[in-house]
Amino acid sequence: MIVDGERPIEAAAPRAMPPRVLLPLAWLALVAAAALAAPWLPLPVPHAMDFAAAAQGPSLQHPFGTDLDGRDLLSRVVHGARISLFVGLAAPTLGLVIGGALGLIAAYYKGFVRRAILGALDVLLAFPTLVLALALTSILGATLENVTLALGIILIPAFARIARANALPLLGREFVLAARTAGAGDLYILLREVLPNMAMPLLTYWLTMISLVIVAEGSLSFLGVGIPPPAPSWGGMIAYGREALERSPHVTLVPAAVMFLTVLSLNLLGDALRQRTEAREGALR
Amino acid sequence: MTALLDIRALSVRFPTAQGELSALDSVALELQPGATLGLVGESGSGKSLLCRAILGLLPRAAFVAPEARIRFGGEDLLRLDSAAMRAIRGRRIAMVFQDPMTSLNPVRTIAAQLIEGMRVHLGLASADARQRALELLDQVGITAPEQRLGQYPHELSGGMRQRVAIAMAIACRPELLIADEPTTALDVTVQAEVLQLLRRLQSQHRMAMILVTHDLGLAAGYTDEIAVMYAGQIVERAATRVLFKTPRMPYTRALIASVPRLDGEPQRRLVAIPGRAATFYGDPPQCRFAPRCERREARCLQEKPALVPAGSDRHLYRCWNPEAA
Repeated sequence: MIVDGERPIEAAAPRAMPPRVLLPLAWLALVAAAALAAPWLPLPVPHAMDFAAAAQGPSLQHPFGTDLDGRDLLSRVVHGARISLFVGLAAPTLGLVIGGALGLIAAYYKGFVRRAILGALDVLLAFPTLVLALALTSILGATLENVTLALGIILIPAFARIARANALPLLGREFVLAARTAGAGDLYILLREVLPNMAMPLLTYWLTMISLVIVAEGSLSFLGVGIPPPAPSWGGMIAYGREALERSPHVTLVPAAVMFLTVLSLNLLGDALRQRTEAREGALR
Repeated sequence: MTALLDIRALSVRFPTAQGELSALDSVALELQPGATLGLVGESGSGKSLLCRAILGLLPRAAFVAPEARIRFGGEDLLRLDSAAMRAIRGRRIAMVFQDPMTSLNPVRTIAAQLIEGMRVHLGLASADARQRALELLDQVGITAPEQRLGQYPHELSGGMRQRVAIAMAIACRPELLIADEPTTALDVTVQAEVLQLLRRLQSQHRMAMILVTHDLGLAAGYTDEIAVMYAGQIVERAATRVLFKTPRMPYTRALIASVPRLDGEPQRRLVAIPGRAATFYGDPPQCRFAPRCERREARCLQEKPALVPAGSDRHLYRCWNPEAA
């Protein structure tokens, strides 16, 4: 009874972060900081063309070189990060909020509501994702908001499925019955009892989806229905450098490398987070 | 004195493929304010279902007989709408569950679980609710309550967790506390502490309690009256002392005999009741305990015995061939 209620020892001493967590964190922090500070950084305007200095390799004046129209690649990559990160954060968040809500509702209520939600999600799932995004952006028009909206809509079914699958066993747990015996209503039970218990799986999936959406935005831009030029997006830059891949490969490789490193970092972080939460949940039961 | 809780003719059935499963059969109970009723029976005898019926939380498929009444403080709980019932749950009738590991939310702090119920039911401001939470934790005998508030259920021991669950249950000063096997999941050393805590809180707040248990020995020390349940029926009901002195129903006697005794001779075989509890469909014309009963007569399998008075002290039993008084 002496040790009763004391915190476990390992929780008190934080372990040093391994490099596979530290490096991705550092890279993402760099990208995010550059994206946020882009307007104030001493960089050339990203769409200022200089045909005299077209397709140059790295130099002091242009650390990453220039593209085929003589625009500074570093500046374009940094400004492209703003767009990629905006889409990459906003679209999964849209999917998380709407999909999570639909999944919870479909788990909690029976009958028509559940059938309607599950049916609609099945219809959405039946479309090949990129084709659906292509169709949506070409109907709505290729703007930053519409690309984000289209990618967000694509993510709704998966988030809803994950939310529902996690909510179903939780709803049968005794603490839900206990909350009910304490007079809790439907909304309280869903938001305060069930949702906190499934926050981790939803957030890990959200993190994984960021990288997927960055790639998807790149694919859309590559296909010409993404963010319209001259706004610099990583996918658009890769597509643009394609025609001169043999002469000046760096025009394609620089944005590709930045995108690769960002996506890799996000995936590594997602894996680390998933391992941690799974270990913790295992210990709890 | 009017009863706080008055249950009449409560029958609950579930439609199944084999027919109408009779889960509760004409259950009748009264409970005075401040009194303790022991609800004793094997697993599956309908104890927990009865508690859920009182709280208005029966499964959706359940069919409640139209003549059933659950009067609580002048209102018929079976006829309240869901909003009115929600206002009673937690506020006037509260419940403590068997396993505090599963009845507390694992990812919310003690503070979040304890305080929010009070804010919803009592409309307290968050600082007041926090103050009240500290008082409650202190009342249920938790040391360093300030520190506990920020902890999660898995950081507490089983006994501590059950004390927190009890604090949550009594937060709104309920008139009736339903304790569903509150000590079964706890260490034996902690059991007595938790039961004494319940008894102390009960006399402090003049709170009535239904103590659900399968342990007659435990019920003996902590109840005023005991109702013995078997297969969805109340088979005997009497003041605790009377029940132990003169059990009339053979099932009650067998239950009492099966409590292991420390003063018995060593190496003695424990007494067990042969067979196992069965499930009944419809309303069979027989005594439900008859298949396992030593005192069975031909009539026991042909007619359903009624709950009849044994003469004194509001002692009721349901048997054709009762034990001698």
